[in-house]
Order: sequence, then C-alpha cells, then structure tokens
Amino acid sequence: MQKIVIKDCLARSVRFFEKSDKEVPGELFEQKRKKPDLSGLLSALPSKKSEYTCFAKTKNALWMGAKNGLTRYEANAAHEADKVMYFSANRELPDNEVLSVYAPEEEKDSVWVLTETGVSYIELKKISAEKKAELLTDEGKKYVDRHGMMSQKDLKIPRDPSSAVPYGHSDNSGAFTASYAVGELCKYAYYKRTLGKDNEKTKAAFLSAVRATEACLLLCYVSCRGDGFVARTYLTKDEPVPDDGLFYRITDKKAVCLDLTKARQRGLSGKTIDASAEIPKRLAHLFEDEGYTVNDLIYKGDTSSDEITHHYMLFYFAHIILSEDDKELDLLVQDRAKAILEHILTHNNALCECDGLPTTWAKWNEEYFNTPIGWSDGCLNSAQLLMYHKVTMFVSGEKGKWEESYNDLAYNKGYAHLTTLHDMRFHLTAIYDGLEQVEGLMYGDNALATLAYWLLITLEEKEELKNLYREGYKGWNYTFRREHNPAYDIPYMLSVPDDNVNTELLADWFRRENISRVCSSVSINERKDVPKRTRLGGMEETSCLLMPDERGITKYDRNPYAYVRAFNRGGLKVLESCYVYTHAYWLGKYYGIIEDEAEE
Amino acid sequence: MNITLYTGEIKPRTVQKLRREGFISAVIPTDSYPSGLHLLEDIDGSKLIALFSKENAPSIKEADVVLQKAFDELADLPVIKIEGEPEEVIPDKFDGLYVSKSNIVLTKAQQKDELILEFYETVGQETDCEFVCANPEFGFRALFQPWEIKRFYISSDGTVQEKI
Repeated sequence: MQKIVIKDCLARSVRFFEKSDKEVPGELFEQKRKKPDLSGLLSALPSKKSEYTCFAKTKNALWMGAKNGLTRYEANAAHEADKVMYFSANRELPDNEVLSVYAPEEEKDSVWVLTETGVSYIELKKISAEKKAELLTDEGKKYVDRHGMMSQKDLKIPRDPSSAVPYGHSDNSGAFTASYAVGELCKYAYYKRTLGKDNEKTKAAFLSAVRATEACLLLCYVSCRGDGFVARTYLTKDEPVPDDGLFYRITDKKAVCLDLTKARQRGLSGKTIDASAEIPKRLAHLFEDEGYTVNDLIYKGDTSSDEITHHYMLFYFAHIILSEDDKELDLLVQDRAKAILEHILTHNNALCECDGLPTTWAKWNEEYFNTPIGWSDGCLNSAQLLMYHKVTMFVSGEKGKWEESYNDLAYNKGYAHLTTLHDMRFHLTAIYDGLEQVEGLMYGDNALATLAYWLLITLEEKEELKNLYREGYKGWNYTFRREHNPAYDIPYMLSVPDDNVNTELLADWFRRENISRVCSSVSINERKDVPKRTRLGGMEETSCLLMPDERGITKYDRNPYAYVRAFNRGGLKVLESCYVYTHAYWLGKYYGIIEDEAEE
Repeated sequence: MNITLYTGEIKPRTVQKLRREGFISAVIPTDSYPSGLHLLEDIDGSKLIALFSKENAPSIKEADVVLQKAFDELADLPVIKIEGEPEEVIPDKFDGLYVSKSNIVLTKAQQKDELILEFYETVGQETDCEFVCANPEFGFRALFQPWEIKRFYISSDGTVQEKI
C-alpha cells in the first residue's frame, strides 16, 4: 500500500491592522520602493517580473509586492509546490495593491505588508498535520456546531469566527455531519489503538465521535414519521426558517408542512401528518439539553440520496468502531440502517415524502433510470442502493430478505452491471449536451461515488461482483482523480490497491490546507501565472490545480479548478465546517496510510 | 445517420484534432474506458474510432445503439475513411521559451493578434509544467492530463488563456 508522508506542514497565519495601529512597525512605512533582481529566474510568478515594486528578504525566501498581490519565492524549497506562493485579498491582504513589505526578523518567516487600504502581518509556520486537524476541529466545535451538526455558520463580523450566529442550517447537514463524524470515529479508533483507551485524548475523541454520530442518527428519527424517513436537517423554534425547501413544524405528535414556495409547488402547504413516533431519549438530549422539546422542532424534508449515502457510510464506521464501547448507540445504528432500507424497498426503491411521491433526488428505481437524467445518474444510484443493502447486512448481522433483495437487484435487475457503465453514459451525455465531462458533473457526486463503490468493494465477498464494482469505480477516474483530494483517493487506494495515486500531491493537499475555514476569497483572476481555461461548454477553470490555501474555501462539492474570485455564498461572513480536512486526515491515520512528522 | 470511422494510429491527440475539425467522437481510447465500447479492433493494422459529425449528432440512446451496431456489423454501416492524421507543421523551437518538463513538447507557435502556443504531453503522465519566456514576457503553469494537448493564447500584456 502506498503511503502519504506529510512533512513541512504549513500554516498561513494572518492578522489585519489599520495603518494607524500602534502595533504596526514604523519601518514598514520607511521602506524604499525598489524592484527585486529577478533576471535569469526560470519560474512562473503571479506577477510579471517587471511589475514587482518592493521586496523583503527572510532567511529562506524573497517576499515581493506588486499591484496584484504578494509573492513569496523560495529558490530551494523542499517541496516544488512551495517554491512560489501567492498571497492576496481578501484572505491575506486588505487589498492587492502592495506598497511596502518589511521583514522584522530574518530568522522568522514573516512579513508586514502595507497595501493601499491597510496592513497585514503574515507568518508562515510549520505545524504538524495533526495539529492542523486539532486547530480546525476546535474552530468547528466552538463556532460551527449546531445541536451537534457541522455544516456552516454565518458571521456577524467579517473574518471573526467568534461572531458566528447561533443558526445556520444546510440542505445537507446530515451528509456533512456524517463526514465529520466518520473523521471523529477514526480519530477515536486511532488514539485508542496507539495511546490506549484511558488516555485523555482518546476519551475526548470518544465523546466527540459519539456526539456527531448522535446528531446524524437524530436526523434519522426527527421526523417522528416512524417509517424510516430521514430529515435533511432540523431547526429549533428560535432559528429562522429559510424559504428553500419543505419544512415541517412538529406539534403534539403531528407535523404541519409550512406554507413556503416548495410546499406550494408540491401541494403540501398546510398538510398535517403523523408525528407520533418517539425520538430515542439517547438522541433527544441534543436539543433537550439546550432547553427545547420535540414540539420546538422544525425539520426539513425532500431529502436526497446524498444524505442517505453519507448516513450509510456513518453506519458502517459507527458499527466497526463503537459497537464494543457503546452498545446502545450501535443498536440505534442497526435500527436505522434497517428502517431506511425498509422504507426504500417498500416505496419502489425511492425515499418518499408524505404525499407518497419520491423526493426530488432520492430515486433508485428503473423508472428513474429510464428518464434522460436517470440514464446517466442510474449507474451511481445503482451502486448506492446496493451499498445500502451491504451495510445493512453488515451492521445488523442479518441477511434474509436483505440478501434476497440485493441478489435480485444485482443479478436479475442488472444493477451490478449498471455500476460499470458510468464512464460511457456520462461521456455520451456530455457529447449530447455539447459539454466536456467535467462540465456536466455535479461535484458532490464524486463523494457519493467514492462512498458507494468503496463500501461495496469492502463488503462484497464474491470476487466476480467485487471486480465489477472495481471496474465501475475506475470509470470515475476522469472526474475525481484530477482533484487529488485525499478524501477520494484514500478510499480509492484501499479499494484498488494495484492502481497508483499521486501521494506527493495528496501530501501537499494536507500541508497546504488552511488553518481556518472562514470563506475568505482569493484573487485567482489577477494572477499572471494561472491561465483561465474555457471548456467546450463555457465553464471557466484554472489550467493548473492550485494548492488549497490559494483557492476558494468550500466543501467537497465544488470544483477545485473553478476560476472565480470567490465561489462561496458569503465570503468573509461565512465559516465553513472543518470536516473537509479532518475527515480525510483521520481516515488516512485510521487506515495507516498517512505518516506525518511531529510538530517542530 | 452517418457514422465516420477514422482509421490510422489512434492517440488521444488524434481525437482532439478531429474534434476541432468538427467531429464528435463517441469513443475515446483510454485504458479505463468500458471494454464493451472499445472500438479498437485491428483492421489491416489500423485502429478505428467512431465519429459523428455535428450536423448528424444522435441522441444519447441512438448513439449507444449505433455504436453497438457498429461493433457488431462494421461492414454494413456507411463508412467514410479518413486516412491518418491531418498534416501539421511543427515549427522550430520557440525562441527564448523555457518549458520545465521534458515530456511537454511544443507543437505549434503562431503569432496572430495574440501569440498562440500549443503543447502536447508525450509519455502518458499527468504533468504540472511551467512555461517562462523573457520576450515576450510571460510565465504560467498548467496541469496536463496524460496525452493532453493544450493551446494557450498570450496577449501582449502577458495575460494567458487556455482555449480549445
């Protein structure tokens, strides 16, 4: 098995100041503007050589200012990716017009930067990859956690996580929280294995893993419908209800669909449905501890396959990691795995809303596969449904009707073969639409494919089916392998061990991830060294894959090549979940794929 | 519906060139491509790829059916043969241009309103490459997928764009 060896993990630490701030050293304003000597330099730089107007030297690097940002150049950088770094507004600079750069101590890798409208102090620190996970998790727990869920939060004050508002739901709270939970479960298992179960770190990781798992399980019960229906997310009465989906308010064992746009479109506005099923006490504490009862809850329906697939990933990990230490939670995992699958199977392979019709994006049946969208979507969806069967059998230890249904789908209905056709169908769809493949992709599908194929390959015992699933998994190479995202490539390494991945780029991904998830933008479009690439259908991308600290801050479901200034919804006033880093990191540690050196 | 079969040595760059000439390829010969749709049968030492003209672009399902038929009954389909790759003149090395990776080669350099440079990845390996030039002054990076051709348009102020 290949290893991802993480050395020289970097953290960009930035503080912003007004020009008049007393902490700003006077030398910054006294620097004479002069151009650096870059003759003979054979590196592509973010500004043209002739455009740099000021510079400062630290021990290993040259920091150069131009009208389009700050460049750090290190001729003998240990990693190719670190040779040229770019710092820009709004992430590291108040604006991009750099007027002066001052390095206070040559030994330290830090500079003061004067721009047209302010000052920033930038320090490049080496920290361990584990420390980075810790910093990000702390930020997430303090400011993003909402009743145990980890999606994102709005900020009242730009760049200030401590100003996070107490609400902030997402369409995919369950999916994002499940990814976070799996990271925390893997962390717990890793610490338990390496430090022992009585170690303080292990104990803390256990509590964290349990809370996140409970939060996800609660979404599987919170509708109180008693039929295995899963909610996308839920709010309490003190949180604003956005007009972006189907919401149900629970009152006295009934739930009423709120009068919002989506409900009116679907004819569900004001519809009252049963909500008498009990939420297990073990999970209800997540809102009860905050002073709420079930009558204070509003949950979101029209749940998608994204949610269901991530929940089944969580069921798998929760069972293998927590079943010994928390039998009560494991029983809830088993109960929900069976209940959700039962719902799907008794509703013609779909997740259905209270009107008996399928939700918009949770259909795994042949009728859907024969629609224009379902024709290319069906390959992924067939893998998902087969995976749900496998996980249900694994966590419950029961086969019976689950195995019967699995075999019927896999063999008689052709689902196993369908899992291999994604590449061909997706390619033809793109041709038909006049697009290149990467333009037609919903980027969240890369994650869904990863989970579906990986768990199928992991749990399938029959070699002939395993090989089919491997073939299908490889069919996704063209879209997800180019991302060099460890959350995709680690499962791929585990599932297809004879195929090599670029472990150096994966290590770079960890080394260069940001230490905060504030959605500050970067000025990709001002860089001279990053061409804009226009695809066949007009999609604009960068011609190269930028390091994570030089591109937008998003979840996994966005294109990492996107060529835009800021492709998040709120910029400096949004704080994203930490799971993007922690999920991948702890997964790698759990499986022994990541080796990182200790903090210096 | 007309189906055009290209015969000659097939490399991904061949497909790209033909697409630029107005054909839509229905099959791309990558290693990961589903075996059922590989149209890489040897006929007289040549390999074949199915191409649809844009005017005759079929629906997805039609394409699927036609392709399947093409594999089974090549002789019965209207076949137009294109012999070999379109001819191309590869100019001398661009003066003063530094390319950081040896497997990325310059295949075209033209000066129109913008300077147009075309490069080709030659060994089937994903490659991050730097391009630096003193005159005209520019420097940029690009990630090539295996066998990929990229074409860059460089304006007089050093701004670079990649276009098809």
